[in-house]
Amino acid sequence: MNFKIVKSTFVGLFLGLLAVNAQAQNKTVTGKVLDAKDNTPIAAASVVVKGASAGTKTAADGSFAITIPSSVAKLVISSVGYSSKEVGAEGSVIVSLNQTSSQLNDVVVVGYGTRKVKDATGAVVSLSEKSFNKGMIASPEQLLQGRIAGVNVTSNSGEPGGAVNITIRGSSSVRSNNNPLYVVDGVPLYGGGTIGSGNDLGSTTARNPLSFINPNDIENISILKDASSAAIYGARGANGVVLITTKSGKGKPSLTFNATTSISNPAQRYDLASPQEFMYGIKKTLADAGIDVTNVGSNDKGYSTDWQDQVFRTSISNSYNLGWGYSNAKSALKLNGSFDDQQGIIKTQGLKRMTFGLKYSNQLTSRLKLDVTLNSSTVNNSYAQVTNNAGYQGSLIGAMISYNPTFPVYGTNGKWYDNQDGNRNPVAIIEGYNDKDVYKKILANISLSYKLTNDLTYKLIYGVENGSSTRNTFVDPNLGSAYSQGNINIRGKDYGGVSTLFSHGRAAHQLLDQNSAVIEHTLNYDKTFKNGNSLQALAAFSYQKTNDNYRAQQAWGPIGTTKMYTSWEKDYPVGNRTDVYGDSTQVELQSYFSRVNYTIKDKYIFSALARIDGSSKFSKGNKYGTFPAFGFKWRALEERFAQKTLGKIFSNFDVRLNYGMTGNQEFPAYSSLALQQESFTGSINVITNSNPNLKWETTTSTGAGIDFTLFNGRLNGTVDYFNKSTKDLLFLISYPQPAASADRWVNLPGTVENTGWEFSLDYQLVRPAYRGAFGWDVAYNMSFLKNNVKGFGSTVVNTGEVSGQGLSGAYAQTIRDGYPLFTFIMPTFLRFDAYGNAVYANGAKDELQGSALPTFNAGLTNTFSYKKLSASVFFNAVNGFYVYNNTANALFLKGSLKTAHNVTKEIVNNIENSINPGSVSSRFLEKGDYIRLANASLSYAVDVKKGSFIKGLNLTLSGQNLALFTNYTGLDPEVNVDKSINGVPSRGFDYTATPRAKTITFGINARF
Amino acid sequence: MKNNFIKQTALYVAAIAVTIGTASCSKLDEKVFGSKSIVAETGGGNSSANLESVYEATNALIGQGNFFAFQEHSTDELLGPTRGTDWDDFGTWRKIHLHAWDGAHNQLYDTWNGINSGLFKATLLVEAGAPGDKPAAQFLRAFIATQVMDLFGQVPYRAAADGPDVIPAVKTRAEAFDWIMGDLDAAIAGLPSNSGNIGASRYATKEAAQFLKARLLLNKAVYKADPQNPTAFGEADFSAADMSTVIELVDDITNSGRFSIGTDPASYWNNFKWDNFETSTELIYTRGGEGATQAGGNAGTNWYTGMGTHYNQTFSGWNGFTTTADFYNSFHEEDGRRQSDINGFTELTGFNAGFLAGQQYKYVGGNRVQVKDRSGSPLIFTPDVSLFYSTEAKGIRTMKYPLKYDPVTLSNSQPNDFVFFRYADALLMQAEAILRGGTDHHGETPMTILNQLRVRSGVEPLTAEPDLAEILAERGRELYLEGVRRDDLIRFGKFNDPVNERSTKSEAFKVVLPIPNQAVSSNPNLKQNFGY
Repeated sequence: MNFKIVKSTFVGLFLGLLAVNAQAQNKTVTGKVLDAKDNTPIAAASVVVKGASAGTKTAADGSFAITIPSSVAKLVISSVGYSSKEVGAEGSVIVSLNQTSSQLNDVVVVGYGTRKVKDATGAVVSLSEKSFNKGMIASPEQLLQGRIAGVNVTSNSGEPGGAVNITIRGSSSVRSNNNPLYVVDGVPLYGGGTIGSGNDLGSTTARNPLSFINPNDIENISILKDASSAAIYGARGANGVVLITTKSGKGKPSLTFNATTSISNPAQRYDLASPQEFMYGIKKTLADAGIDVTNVGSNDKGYSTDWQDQVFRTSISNSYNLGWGYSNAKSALKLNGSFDDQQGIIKTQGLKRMTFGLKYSNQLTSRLKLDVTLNSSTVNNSYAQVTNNAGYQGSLIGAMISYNPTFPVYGTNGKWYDNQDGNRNPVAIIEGYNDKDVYKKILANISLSYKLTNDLTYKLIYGVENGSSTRNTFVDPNLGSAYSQGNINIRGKDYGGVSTLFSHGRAAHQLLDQNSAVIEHTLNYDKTFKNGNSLQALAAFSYQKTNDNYRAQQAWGPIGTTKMYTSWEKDYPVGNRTDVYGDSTQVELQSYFSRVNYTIKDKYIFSALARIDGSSKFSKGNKYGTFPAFGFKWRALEERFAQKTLGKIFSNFDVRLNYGMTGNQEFPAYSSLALQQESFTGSINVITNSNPNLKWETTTSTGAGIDFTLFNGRLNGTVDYFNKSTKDLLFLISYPQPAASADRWVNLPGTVENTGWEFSLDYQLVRPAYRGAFGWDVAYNMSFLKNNVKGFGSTVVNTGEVSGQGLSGAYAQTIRDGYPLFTFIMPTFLRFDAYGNAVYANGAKDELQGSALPTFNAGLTNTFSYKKLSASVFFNAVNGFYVYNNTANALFLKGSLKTAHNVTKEIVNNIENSINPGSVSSRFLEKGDYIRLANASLSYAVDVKKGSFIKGLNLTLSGQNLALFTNYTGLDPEVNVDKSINGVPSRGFDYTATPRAKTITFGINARF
Repeated sequence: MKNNFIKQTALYVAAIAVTIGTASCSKLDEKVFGSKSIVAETGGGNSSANLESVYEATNALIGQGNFFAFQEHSTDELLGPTRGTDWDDFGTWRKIHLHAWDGAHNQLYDTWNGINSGLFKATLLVEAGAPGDKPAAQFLRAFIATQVMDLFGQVPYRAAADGPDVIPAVKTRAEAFDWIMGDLDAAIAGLPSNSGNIGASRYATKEAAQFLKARLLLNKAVYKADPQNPTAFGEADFSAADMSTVIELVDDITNSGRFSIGTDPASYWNNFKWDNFETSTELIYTRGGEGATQAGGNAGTNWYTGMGTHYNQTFSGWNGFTTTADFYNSFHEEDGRRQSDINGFTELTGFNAGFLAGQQYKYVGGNRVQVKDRSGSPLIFTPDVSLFYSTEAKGIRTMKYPLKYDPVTLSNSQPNDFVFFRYADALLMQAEAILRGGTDHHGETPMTILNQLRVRSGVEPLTAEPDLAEILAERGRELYLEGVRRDDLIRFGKFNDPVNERSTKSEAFKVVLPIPNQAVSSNPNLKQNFGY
């Protein structure tokens, strides 16, 4: 893409838009906005020229002053929760607004601006504080889990701060992740920032990139579901965009304080055999297999240890949040500080977080406005050794399940009991590892907007995201040889006999710095014409540079070390450390974009946008991609003919159409280059093959939707249909040998198709007859999704590694033409034969089974209010998907008993033969359908005297994950342990994940 | 009014200029950091790879899986039985032993990629490296290309100067043979002799190149056979001239004066135990172990110990592979290569070198105690083993590379050099070449040669000239687990024959492996091998 062409295109486009421009005389209108019911002032109500979006907001006392062209005849006054009103734009006005349940005038954040719901042409859903999930909320996405049609939030496990999958309108990418782009207060997050495992028990699971955000400080989350909205984020918008807006100061200075205390327990436990059942099972199993049982008694050490009790705990978590803020005609300020201490239900798992937030705006002059936001966060994570790919010795959960229940926790020498049989004592895994990280993040942006004219505003935004993470892992020297394995070989260099080194304890020290800076220039044009039509236009340039720097080092203790040392600096001599190794990357993104909204008679709303994105990840000549989008909305009831027909039923009826293209560039930097790397011993290896032709993955989506209101505003509904087709799929394929590396990134032929329907309904079932009377609201959303891979030819990609003893090389998932992504493949298990050996269909041939992708999601919220009480109950249902129970495949086999590994009660008594291998089969593939009572809360607004220093006091009792209805035999079908193979992602695998907790939270919320 | 309009327009234009003009700053070129750099696009003494990286690439030939698994599990030397819930491993070991592999076999692709990436690095050195490195690079390329030719029957070739989108041309087995020979002749002419210094065998030498050339010529009949009928070669295809060249090449190796055969069983184990790089007199080409001063990673000989030893033994292994009863029984009882106690090893670890059979022992607190299995019974390795249904103790294990054990820290290390080429193999090739019609000028006969090895191992010397079957059997006893059994069986026409746990003869085309499916679909010049 030629820069000059890009530039001149933009200049031309913009000049064209501005061709009609004449300046007129100004006038000032002042006024006050009041609640029609009790004449209390409404703060932060918006006052805008009819048809435009720019305007002013009311101060704490409801007053406003706005300077407008004298030609303007009408002002529109609106505020969240009130129906808007038009008033004449003359002199001084008093406006009374009526409360309403209609959301049409709510303002949604759409990326580089806001729009009213009624003017939004795309599929944008916005959720504000009152609709958020309640209770112990570790990170922002938990606020909206289950609440929005088409947005599927799956936490990978119950680990605090653990990774989460958010898929918006289905999975469209074969290879790269399907997570959306996050934008916080207008700045696209670079994400990442936490470090993987530093131990040898397997790799720990990924972390949630949002865990640094204080959920209490979030005012609003907007989700851009379709391409016509998300294309404003171009090459990063293909998986949808989540826009998070933090709180800003409102009204008179006020102080808020929230505190919550939560109690959590594992929601489910494994139904393991007791010591008696275990010994009975061993004897019977060996006898059945014709093996001499005289020595079996040596397995019975006579203790009775419930290893689940040793690993799990009732955890108590506390959270405190203090906020202070104000706003007036000139400036607004919000300060927010929080402290969270979340304990995991596994001992040693936990998260402590301190955050500080500042949001400040100041109208420096009548034309110049300053905005500053700052979010700073320090998260201390503490890990247990829960991993996703442990082999036969298992990681913590695997050991907890299978460790002999007749063994004691500690031996007579006071150390962890070790039977010298290669199995790992779960308590030793907990106590013998000290694995913690500190994650610091600063997210700041400063912006200056200057009103060049009344219609045209220039804005400069500078944002930075600095993250640093330090992870230290220490291993106790008293752990037996079973815990230390492998060899320290770093970039070709060996560091001596590892078991010798590690018998003195070992340590791993990892550092990750990530810096991202973004600079954006935007020009906003906002004009309402005399005929009532309005035009909004945006032209912008954005440049973002991100740097990653990872360093690691390992070390072992001095000879003779007998206790675990936990200071990297002091306890591990420099001579006992490896060389520092690591990696650095830099990615630049440079974009030009423009958007035009045109509204005709408040009836036809057009939106067109285009973004040209350039990325350093691609080779010369291939760096730029263009992402256009169009949206159209028809507000039917503005038509006279429709008022007479549709208008008799509906009080609002809008039709939306949209089309757009978005991109995905989620693949490693440098994939288009041939790179070489020098090892620590001097060998230079070519490590990647170049690929000059690599380009973005592009998703083209079309959609249509209807927004309607019925029954005098009591029923609001939305129906959406969409079709997404993703082409130029980014994928790592085999590179023809001989070559430096086995594979390289290419754009695959073929497409991934997602089609779906989304419905959401809000119904005021019982409208309170008067203030304080009984009210009942029902909110329901559901989505149907179909996913299919097309044009893939004969390409078959296998993924979904199955772990466990005797399962090396096993996989269970496939991506192939004509089937949904993440379709399971394996022999079909029929039954056990008379000898207890497995019988499979069709000669145990691999057969295609169902997919791990749900086809149906639903959420149902009932909200009740009566006097000072309000209550809500939220159910979440997910259907039409399969889960592979790798935990059962690896551990719940009769053969486990033969080697003195514990199993579930069911296995002790089933007819399986102990020599039957636990091959991958549909025996372990289960339907995951579930309904969860995900959230219930009861809150009470305590009476406060008028004029007392306390302005409001709310008490809340809430419960999360209170009940689960499913036929799945594992702990919880909402699970997604990463079982990727060669980086090809998997879905729907359950392997010794941290169980999900059931949590009861008491909260207090006070306003001063 | 008009004046105002012009001012406004100027303002807009200025604003746009600021927005777009000042901002378009980056060319978006990628910058790399630290140990990484962008590969130069031109060749000519400017190659990206260095010689160390090619040596390092031979690590792909070491380890219990991939290359080694195909060479050994496909024969009577090794099998990986399923033990209840252990070692089913998706049938990966079983399929190799049963010759039931296909292009989708999971170890095939890694084997292919591992060997071929080394081949490419060697080509970079040969065609674009420093002139001084060229002879060594030619030896290494020949060594690596031989494995591709031998296993897969075709050899793809990518030139150093080829662009990233070039699809490699493919040499047939016969073409590849001649190509490799060219590299070897150049290497023999350009390489120095083994210096005799400790660790000299870790680098390319004239003798290593001569050894490889001898091995190739001995197998020429196999490599030049009709790809559609790869086992259709007979004695006539082993030409007398080639056999005489084999004999001369081995003579050249002998005449270097660096290599000799010892006189007692302990000298056999000097070739493999932890200090083999100092004590062996037979090492022609090796990869250094832990602690070796060489660039790139080291050989990990613990794979060859751990693949068989039980979890509860002193070198805690993963209780996997065993030999077949027939192979174990092919040894004479007194053969030191079958079982020997080793000073500084057996009295510390309870292990003997060679095959591990019967009750196993270890030392706890200085006392020799029985090793127990995981259900608490004495651990007794028995020769009978089933590929599908074995219990924990079934099967005879191997201890080919005795590791170094420290009785103070109770820990072990693996400084052993891994052996690629050894003098005893050279002598066995010479014996076989004489038997196949080559001319020897020093009065050696196959019997005198074999007897050197037999006497060294404590076995009764032969009293009559051996036949080919006897040569094969002696090769098995001398060279087990050294990665040559598959080639030997193919050359002697025995590869497809049944063994203990494979009851039927396999198809002739199985002497060549299939090209992995992923490779076939990535390169249209590769045609799947006959039969697959």
